[in-house]
Amino acid sequence: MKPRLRSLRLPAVLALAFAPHGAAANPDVWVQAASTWRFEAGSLVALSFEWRFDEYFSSRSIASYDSDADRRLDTSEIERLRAEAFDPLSRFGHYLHVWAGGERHGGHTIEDFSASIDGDRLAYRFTAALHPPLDPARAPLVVSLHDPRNVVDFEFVAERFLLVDGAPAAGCRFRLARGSGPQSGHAQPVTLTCGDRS
Amino acid sequence: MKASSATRGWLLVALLVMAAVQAAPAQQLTVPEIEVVADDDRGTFAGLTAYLVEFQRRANAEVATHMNAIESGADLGAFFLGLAIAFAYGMVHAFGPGHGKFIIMSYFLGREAQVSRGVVMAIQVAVVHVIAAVVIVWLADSLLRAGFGIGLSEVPGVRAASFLIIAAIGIYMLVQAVRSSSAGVLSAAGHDHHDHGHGHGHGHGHGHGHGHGADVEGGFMALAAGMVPCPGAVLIMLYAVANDMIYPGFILVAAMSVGIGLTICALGIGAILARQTAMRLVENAAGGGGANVLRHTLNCAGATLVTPIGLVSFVAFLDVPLG
Repeated sequence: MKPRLRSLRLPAVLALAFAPHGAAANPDVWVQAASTWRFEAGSLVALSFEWRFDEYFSSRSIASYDSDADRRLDTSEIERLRAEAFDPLSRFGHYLHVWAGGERHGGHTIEDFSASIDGDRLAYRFTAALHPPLDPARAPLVVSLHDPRNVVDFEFVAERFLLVDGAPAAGCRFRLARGSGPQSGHAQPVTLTCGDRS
Repeated sequence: MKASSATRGWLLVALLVMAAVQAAPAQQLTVPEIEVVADDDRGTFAGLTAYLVEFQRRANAEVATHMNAIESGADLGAFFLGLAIAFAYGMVHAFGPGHGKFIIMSYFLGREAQVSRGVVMAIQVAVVHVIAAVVIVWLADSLLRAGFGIGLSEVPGVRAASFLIIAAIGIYMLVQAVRSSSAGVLSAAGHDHHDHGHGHGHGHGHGHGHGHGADVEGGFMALAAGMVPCPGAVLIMLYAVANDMIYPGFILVAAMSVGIGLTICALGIGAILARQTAMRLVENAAGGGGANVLRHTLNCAGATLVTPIGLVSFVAFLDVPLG
């Protein structure tokens, strides 16, 4: 190794150890997600999600909650899973982050939670109803699934990861780009902009 | 009874309406046009993060694939490829939060140690890590089989103990650093009186443990850093147990832990070398007195970094609001 490179080894290792971005790259649970944006009268009223977990988390959860081991989650098993594994995620806002015009959106309530075993994977399906609904014609909306602790990593599925139910105002467009500013560290925030805003 | 033609007409209309309702989709879902912006222009660290996450995502899935391959008696190539992937996964994974990196680095910043000590500690951390993962999974599996169900966060004693050991070692280091600083000041005063004239200040009050004491202290530090297993390793082990693949699961978690140990080893040795380099530079520039001041400063700095890591983590664990 050349002396110059050798002299860079230690700073490089230390920088990697303390770098905020490097430090963030540490998920233990992997989720593939798909979303549906529901509009009423042009406003975004709810976001529905499907989360499909990795083999390890799925395996553990299925072993924990499929009590009769029939590879199906019945109503009582889903209720227990919801109470013990899903509802506690409210502490993290269910990893859902929403901004309207750069301001963080206040809250949502979870509706229609369900879970299933698809092959060897556990899947959650739920809807987050937004309070109040957000009008993208008034301000751009940003929606992101992100765990700031980086224990859970979210990645959109390759196809049909964003569906629309109803319609926003005419001239609206979706954009998916790595986050910056308030969304710094967010891998796949989706921005909905209407009108001439760039 | 014969239905009238009007009644038959209404029935027909009702049937048609019902059929129309059933045929209509519950939701009118559309796939909008989405502009997907490539990540080409992201910064160096953001790019590195994305790469590391993507690497881990793939390695994580590959570990499961190779566990199945090993279990089904695949050839040696698949076995060693599985080991290599798990090892690399652990190495990259350890750069994330946790895994005891910062503790080990702070510890070696505050302790004079040889590089070999860093290697030994990394091995200790890796071994403790594997044992902890297996023990916790064994506990979880036992409870699962008993029909209770348990979450990883529901094994709190291990984390609490780890944080308390770290805090205790930090306080011990701090006491030692303060004591040796006081001794250093006294001995420096003695030097002035005796006027040795050689300017060496490093022969007194170094404040670093040698021999058995340092080994025990380092062993406790390795225990504290390694006893909280990486949740990722635990999940892999749980997967192995759930799918009756304990042997390959153990082997792959061990390989992953060795990878984690190597990263910690590199960072610990980095801290050791950083301290040694700084000492050498200051000694050359400012003589033994300057080096002595730096030594005591580093001893105190290391201790004051280790102590709050343990205490703050413990307070956070108890969910006690700070301030």
